[in-house]
This record gives sequence, structure tokens and C-alpha cells, in this order.
Amino acid sequence: MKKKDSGKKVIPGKVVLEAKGITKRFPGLVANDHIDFEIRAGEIHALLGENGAGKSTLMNVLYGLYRPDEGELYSDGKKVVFNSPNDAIKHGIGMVHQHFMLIPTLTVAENIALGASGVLSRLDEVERKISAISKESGLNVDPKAKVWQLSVGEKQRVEIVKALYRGVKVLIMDEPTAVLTPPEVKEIMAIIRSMADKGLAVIPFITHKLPEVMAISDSVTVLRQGKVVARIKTKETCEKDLAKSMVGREVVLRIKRVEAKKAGVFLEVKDLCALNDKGLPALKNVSFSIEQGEIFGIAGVSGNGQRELAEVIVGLRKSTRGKVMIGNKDLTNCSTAKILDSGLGHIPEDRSKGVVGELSIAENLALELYAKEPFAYKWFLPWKNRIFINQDEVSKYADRLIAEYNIMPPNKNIKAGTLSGGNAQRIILARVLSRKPKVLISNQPTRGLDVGSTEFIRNKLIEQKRANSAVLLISEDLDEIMQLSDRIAVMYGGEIVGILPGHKAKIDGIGLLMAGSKDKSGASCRRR
Amino acid sequence: MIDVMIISILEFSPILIIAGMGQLLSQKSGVYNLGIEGIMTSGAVFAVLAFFLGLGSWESLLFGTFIGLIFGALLFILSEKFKLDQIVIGFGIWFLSLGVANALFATVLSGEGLTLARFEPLIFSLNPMVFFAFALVAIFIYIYSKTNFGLSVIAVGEDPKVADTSGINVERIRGISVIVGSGLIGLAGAYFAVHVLQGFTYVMLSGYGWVAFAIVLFARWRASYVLFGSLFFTAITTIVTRLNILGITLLPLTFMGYLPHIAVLVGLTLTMIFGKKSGMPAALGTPYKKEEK
Amino acid sequence: MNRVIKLKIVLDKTKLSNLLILVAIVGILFFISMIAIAAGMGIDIGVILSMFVEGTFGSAFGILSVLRVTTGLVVVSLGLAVAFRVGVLNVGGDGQMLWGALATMAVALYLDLPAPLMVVLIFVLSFLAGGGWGLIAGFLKAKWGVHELVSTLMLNFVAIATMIEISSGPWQDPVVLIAMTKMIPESIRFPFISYPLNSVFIIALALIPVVYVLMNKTVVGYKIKVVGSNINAAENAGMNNKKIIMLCMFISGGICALSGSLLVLGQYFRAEANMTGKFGFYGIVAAVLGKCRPELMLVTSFILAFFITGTNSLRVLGVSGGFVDVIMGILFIVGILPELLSRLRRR
Repeated sequence: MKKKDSGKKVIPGKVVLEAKGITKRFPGLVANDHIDFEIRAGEIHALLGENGAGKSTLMNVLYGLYRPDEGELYSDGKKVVFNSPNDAIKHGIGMVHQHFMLIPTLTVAENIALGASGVLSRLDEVERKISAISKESGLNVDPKAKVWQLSVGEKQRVEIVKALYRGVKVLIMDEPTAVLTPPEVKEIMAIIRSMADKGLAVIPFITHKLPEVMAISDSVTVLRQGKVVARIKTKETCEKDLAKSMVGREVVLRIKRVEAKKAGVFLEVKDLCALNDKGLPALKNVSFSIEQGEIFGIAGVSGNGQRELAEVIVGLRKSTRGKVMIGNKDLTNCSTAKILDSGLGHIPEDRSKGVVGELSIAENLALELYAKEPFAYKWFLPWKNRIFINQDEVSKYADRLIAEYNIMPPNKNIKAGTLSGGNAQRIILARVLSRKPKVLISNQPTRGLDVGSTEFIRNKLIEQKRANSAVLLISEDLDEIMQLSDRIAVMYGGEIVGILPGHKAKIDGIGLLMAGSKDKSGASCRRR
Repeated sequence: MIDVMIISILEFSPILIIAGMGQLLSQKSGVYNLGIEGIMTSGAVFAVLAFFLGLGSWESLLFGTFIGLIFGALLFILSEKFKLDQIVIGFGIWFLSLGVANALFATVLSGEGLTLARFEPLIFSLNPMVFFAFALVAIFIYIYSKTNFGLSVIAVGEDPKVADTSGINVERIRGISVIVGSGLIGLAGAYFAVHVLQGFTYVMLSGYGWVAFAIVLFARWRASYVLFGSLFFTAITTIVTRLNILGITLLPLTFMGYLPHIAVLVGLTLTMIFGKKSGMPAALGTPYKKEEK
Repeated sequence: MNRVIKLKIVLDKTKLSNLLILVAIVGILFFISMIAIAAGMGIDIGVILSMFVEGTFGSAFGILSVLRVTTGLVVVSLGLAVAFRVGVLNVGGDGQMLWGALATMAVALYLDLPAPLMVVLIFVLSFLAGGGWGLIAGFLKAKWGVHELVSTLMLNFVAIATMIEISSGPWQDPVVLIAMTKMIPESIRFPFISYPLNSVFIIALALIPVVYVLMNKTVVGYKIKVVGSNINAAENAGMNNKKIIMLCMFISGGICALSGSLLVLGQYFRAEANMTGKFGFYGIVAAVLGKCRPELMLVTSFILAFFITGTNSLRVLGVSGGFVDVIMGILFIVGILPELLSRLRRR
């Protein structure tokens, strides 16, 4: 990552927001445990913590969505109580959400005007004000654009303008760079910096983009298990120390690499073109091939065609040109059933599309095999397909998989919808992997999961590779891609912009490719 | 001949227009009003009740609107406050209001030989309610494009969570939309009884309320299309009636009577095949659960 | 392990007390309705209540009548439940029943075969007719996304119109002046177990395990459940959603049609447009209250039949049939209150 801008002195203003002893309890856990926090005008103070460290809770307290059980908030030195986000906004505290709070069918101006007082909506006035703010802050937002037409980065800027429009003095940002490409990240960081220089206080809440924390913030507060474990000026720390504070131990990020023993191409994609849901091109002449026994990783921020690529290969989306060959059979645009039958396994990007909440775990585990022996039988009926379900077989199969994949709770009859994300993902994995697929498409397999499940799943992927599967790994998590992949491709704008050998790739090089640049060199890591 | 037809059509149209707008109001905020058929029937009966009590035509409309508001309140409380399934509750209110209407009529009002007084024409031989219906559509379009309230309703119907974080009171918006919408539906039924049928029969609606419901879908939730659709399907009804009187029957009589119903199904199908499929309020059918504090 | 057992006991207690609260609410509302009727009609409440009781449990005729109503109602609810399970709101039960009746009449009036053969043919044709009718709505939904509320309802009216035309036209009974078909020949009228309860009741009961097996033990039933719960997961697993929705509507319409058949063969012995007694709609109540589970729907159908029969027996006193709808509406609303109660408890 680039060096911080030197020579730009941030003048610490007065304390605009202070939290003292904030405590919030939920049944079974203390999410925030006597947290103290303060931020000054013109300061960028990052809040760092793993999933479950209490970040979201604290964020919601500061923003007025939650009431703390203990502790107080002070705005400009005066004690305040927030009963709703409206109260927070009235005191100048605004939030930019990770999952944008925008209505796609309305325009930018209409979105920003939501909740305004007065009878008439006076949109032209709103539009004018937005243009002014937009120019001044460098955010360049078109007030008349319909939100559904905007890119992810543009939507985020709308969220920021929305906050600025209400005249906030503190801007809370939830994972501000999680969904951006590297150039968008640089852009937004520059904008945040310039807003801070103008006197805004910014609190980015971040999970694991440590380099960005180092680059953008003036101070960092680290949360772990609900408590503040470090509060430090950024220039007095480094990534390694921050990681250590976050996790509480030395972080070992590497999984033991296994050499790929390639055994012939099994999945081949040639000149694949397809449209997205809006009718715009999502895939532009995508070509690559994957051999058995290797993990082929596709890196890239969501929204560059990865989802559409997976859907086309699996048969859920029609391609407009090109071919998909699985094991030398042309299976382009065939039905999903046929493709699954030919030995392909698919771990969908969205867990909710792979698990039926209303049905039991056992019924979910049977989801792809239900129509085959021995799970179904014909009796004496003359029909072609099997009619009846063999409950015993389904039961036995479920027991076996629940044990093998450590699905919790181990009760095959409870509804799958009650399971945690990690366990739901295990169901999907169990179901897909125990069919011994020859090709495995896994899309964001560990997104949003706890550490234990993440490790488990990554090991399973390596197991598949060892078992001679051709594995396509699509992930936003660059670390994951780099640890697991034998070859890494980068998708940007619907195209494959580069294919690198796994062990040679440097994260910066990949980052640049993700931006469409051809430069594969990367700056060295920052040392203390 | 033609101008007589046009006047007929316009005089009949407020039934579908007003009922359709009532349903649209409700659905724009995300709530189905599946009681429409029964609420219209109740509106009609209560209009007759007003006459029975010696009141005039305008009061009858008020009575009809009133019962519509009551059922709307019931629908709102059960489906939003209690978060029960909109569809089940909607059907429940359909049967309930239909039953109340029929029971009320049979018990209190039948055999009275009441003839309701129609409205006097205002201009162009059209009665004031026709103008009201058109004005209603215009007002709706204005409110939903130029006022904050309208914007809030659209937001609530698309994504109540976003609306909530913007400071909009989701419950209040839905309450107003559902209750006022239901009131309009009752009003439509009352108008039917007072001006068109000048009375009440058990079979007066025969699914006409559902035609209004279908028109909202057919119109892809656009007020102007609800207006056009209502006029179109009213025209079908009117023309069929005229043809019957003249003795021209292209189809067996009963089918002619159900022509608007068949037409609206065909219309909706064609819209789904050829037209824009979007426009549905994204949160339609789902109750809004506020976050835990 | 202990925790699991304790939890189970708590849950069962909750269900039982929920049920009791439900019964209490229904009871209260029922009495309020009866009082309203009494007041509105100027009849003594005692007379109303005793009439109601006599029409249901107070006499052999009453009980048999309740069972008779259960016959048609339970079959329709079975048919509707199949559609609900796949996520399609089939409100066209009435129309599908009428097609079953029409198919029955067609065979009865135009074919002359040994009775058992006729009956089998009748059931097959009814199922196909109703199934085809349901399939139209299923196709419109699967292929073009036409909302089933509109399609099934409007098709209802078409079916009603067809029945009116036929029963006042070619098949009209020459002896009567209203729209009613001729009667079916004696040979295919099912015998009565004890008037008014007919042996078609047995057939209705037999359908319950059939639908149970369909939904819980067959591949088709499994597919229906998956598509109905999570259509995306179904698609990802390779299921053909469109085909399943259409198949489901076909089965649903077919079963509802069988109900119409049973009404012809065991109750009216003819067909006319009002014969369904709105079972196509009351069946929705039975299905929803019975959570679309065949074994429960028998109970809910019975309960609804109880209220329908009782309220209808008040007709003698001049009470309007509209009250049946009122009671149905109340039951509908009250019936899903348990959901609310459980939710309140969880807090």
C-alpha cells in the first residue's frame, strides 16, 4: 500500500463525540463491555475488530439504533440519549452502511429526500443542494440518476452525500472499502481524507483491511470480545501489531500448500459471453481451462461477472456465445440437472439458495440425490422414474454426513433454517462433496463464516484437489485465493484480465489487475 | 348512440376506478387488501342502510366509506401490528365483510323495496362522482410524485427498513394507506349501490371487486394505467349490457356477463408476456419487523 | 440431553395452552355472534343455541349432516393444500369442483356401462378435467408469471358460467324451471350409510392417506416441498420449477374436481352452479388452519363443517346464510392467531 501522505497535518479539533463505559448485553453474551471511545473534529479514527468482537453493536449504539444498558454518550461535551437514528442525525452523527440503505427504483435525489419534513418534496431544491455538496466534496454524484443504475462505488458515494446533506459532523462508516476495487478504494480514501481536513470526524469500522487502516487513519481503537484492547495513534503501530491485538495471539494465516498434480483438462470455458439481469454484458469472451487436481482461483470484487460466470457454467443462466465443456462434453446451456449429473458440484454464492430452511437437515442433505437409487425406489410401478423415497437410506446418509462434516446440532430432523451460517454451509458442502464431483464450482465458500468453519471448508477444498477434482474457487477474499489456488485469474469488468501462477503472485500485483492495470509489480510491505 | 355509450361508461367507471385506487394505495405501501370483494359489498349494504335510516345519497356514500375504513383498520391491525400473514387475514376479512353484508341485508333490509336516489348530473350529463374519480387519480399522481408523504409511501413499499432508517414512521404510513385505501373501496361499493344499481342484491358484485384487484396488477401499479384499465374494462361491461338489451349475443348470456373477468385475465396475461414486468413494490406482502432495541 | 427433554415439555405445554386460548377465543366470538343474531332477528338466544346444537350434535341427523359436509370439504382442502405447499394460492377450488361435476354428469348422461366401470371412468375423467383446469392457471403462472389469485378466480367464473349454460341448456332437467341438470341414473348413485351421510364419505377418507403418501413419501411430494419453500434452492439443485408448479396445479385441480364428483354421486345426484357451497373457499380455511397437513385437515374440515352445519340449521329461524361467511371469516382470522401467541411467548 502507498505511504501515507506526508506533510498533511491533521489539526486535532475538539472532541465531537465521546462514549463512556458503553455496555450492551444480549441474552448469553456481553457485546460491549464498558467501552470508552472519543473522536475529534478532523480526525479519522478507525475501529478495528473481528466478526463478533462487538463492532456492530458499538456502531449501532453510536448511531442510535440500540440503547446501551450502561454508559453515556456525549456530543460536543453534552450528554445525549439517542432513541432512534433520527436523534443521532439531529446531533450530527451520520452513518454510511455497508449494505446500502437505498431504494433502487428511486433517484439519488429522491433517496436523499426521504424522511424530510414538510409537505412538498421540492426535489429540484434537493437536487441543487446535492450537486453543490457533490462538487465540493469531490464525490461527483448525479442527483437525477436512478440508484439501480449506479455501480457499487457510486452507491457508496451517494450514501456519503446523504450523510453530508444532513450536515453531519461525525461520519460512521461500516466497512467502507469492503465492496470496492482497489482504484475505488484509493479514491474513497482520498475523499475521506479531504473531508476530514475540512473538519469532519470519520469513524471507519473495519474487519480486516489492515493496510487501509494504516494508510488512512490517524488513530485506531481495537475491540476484542466486547472490550477495548488497544487505543493507539496509527503512526505508532503497524499491521502485525494490530492483527495481534485483534486476535489475541500471533496470527498464522497460511495453510500448508499442496502441490497440484494436474491430470488433464476437465472444465473448459471458451469465449463465454452472457448478459446480466439488467440486460447488459456481464461476461465478455471469458476463456480458461481447469485441470483435474488443481484449484483455479478467480479473484475480483463482486460485481465483475463472477456470479454470472458461475451461473452460466452451472446452467442457471443462458450464455449468448461461447462454450462450456465438462469432461470433453459440450454442456453449454444445458439444464442444471444434466450438468449436475455429469459430475459437477456447485457451492452457491448465496447460502440461502442452497439450503431449504423449512425442511429438515436430512431432507436438505438429500437434495441432489433424492431421485436416485438407493434413495428412491420404484416398487412395482411401470413408470420410468423412481417414485417413492426410501426414508431409511435418507436417514443413514444424513447420519453419516452429519458426523463427517461436524454439523451442529447433530439432529437430522430439525429444520435447517435454525442452523448458523457455518453449519448451513457445511450442509451444502456435505451434500455436494460426498457425491465426489469431478468439477467443483465454489463461489465465496467462506464468506461471513466463523474461523472454525472457514478453516474446515478450506481444508475440504484442498481435499477435493487431492482427490483429483477440478476446483474453481471464486472468492473476494484475496488471502483465501492466494493460499489455496494453484493458478489465479482476475476478473474485472466481465473479462479475465490475467492468469498468474499461485505461488508467484503478489497481492499488490493482483490488486492492480483487479483495477484493469497491466502492471504486475507491487510495492513492498511497510515495515515498522 | 356513441355518446350515450360514452356517458354510460363514464358513469359506471367510478366503481372500478375508486376501488382500484383504494387497492393501489394499499399495495403501494406494501400491503395486499384481499378483502376487496367483501368490503365493496359491505360498502354497498351500508349505503342501503343509510337510505333505510332516511338519509340521502351523499350520506350513503359516507356510510359505505365508513365501513370500509373499519375493515381497513382491522386489516391493518391484524396484518401489520400483529404481523399475521396478509393473505390469510385478507381472505378472512373478505369472508367476514361479505358475510356481514349479506347477513345485514337479509336481516334488516330485505323486502323493504328501497330504491336509492341517484346523483344528479353535474355537467355533460355526468354526476359529480365521475369527476371525483378522475380527480382522485390526478391527486394520487400528484401526491406520489411531488410530496414527501408520497415518497415515503413508495419507500415503505419498496424497502421498509431503508424507510425506517430515514426516519419514516413505517407503521403510520402503512396504516394511513391501508385504512384510507379500504375506505375508498367501501366508497366504490356504496357508489355502485346508490347510483348504478340503486339497490343491493347478493350477486351484485360477482367478482367485480376482484376485477378491480386484477386491474392494479395489470396496471403494474401505475395510477394512470389503473384509470385506463378501469375505463377499458368498464367499457366492456357497458357494451355487453347494451348488446344484451339489443338482443345481440355473441356468446352465451352468462359468459357475456363475465366478459370483464375474462378480459382482465387476458389483459393481465398479455401484460406479463409483452409488457414491463417491473413496478411491483418490492416489499409487497411482507410485514415490517422493527429491529430489537 | 436434559435440556432437550425440558425444552420439549415446555413446547408441548405451550401448544396445549395456545390451543386452549384459541378454543376460548372461538367460543367467545361464537357466542357474541349468536347474541348478535338473536338481537338482530329478535329471537330468543336460547332458541338459537338449542337450534344450533340440535342441528349438529343434538341429534343423529345433526351429526350425520356434519359428517356429510366434512366429506366434500376435506377433499377440497386436500387439493388446495397440495397447491399451497408449492407456493401457489389456488382460490379456484369452486371452479375445479364444478368441472369434476361436469365430467361426472357427462359420463352419467351419455354412457351406459356397468356401474363400477362408470364410476371408475367418472373419477378418472373428473380428475383430468379439474386437473386440466388447474393446469391453465399453473401454466400461466409458470410460463408468464401471471398471479394465480387473478387466474384461478377468473377461471372460477368461467366454470360457473359454463355450468349455468349447460344446466339451463342441453342438460337441463325438463321437470324443473331453474338451472339444474337432470339426475344421474340410479345405478351409479352411491348408497347412503345413514341418510344424510353417504358412502362417498369413505372415499373421501381414503383420499387422506393417499395425499399424505404423496406429500411425504414420494419424490414428487419432496420436489413440491422444496419448490414451495425455497425456489432458488430448488433451481440450484437442478429441479425444473416450472414443470413442478404446473404438475402441482394439475394435481390440485384434479383432487378438487374429485370433491365435485363426490357431491354429485353421493349428495345431489345432479349438478348446478351453486352446488359447491363455496367449499372452494372454505377449503382454504381448512387447509390453512390444518397447516396443509392431511391428518390435521380432517380435523379442521370437521370443525368447519360443524360451524357450517350449525349455522345453516338456523335458516329455519330465518337467519341468513351470510352468517356462515361471518363465522368462516372469524375462524380464518382466529385460526392463525396461535402464530401470534407463540411469538408473544418467545419474547
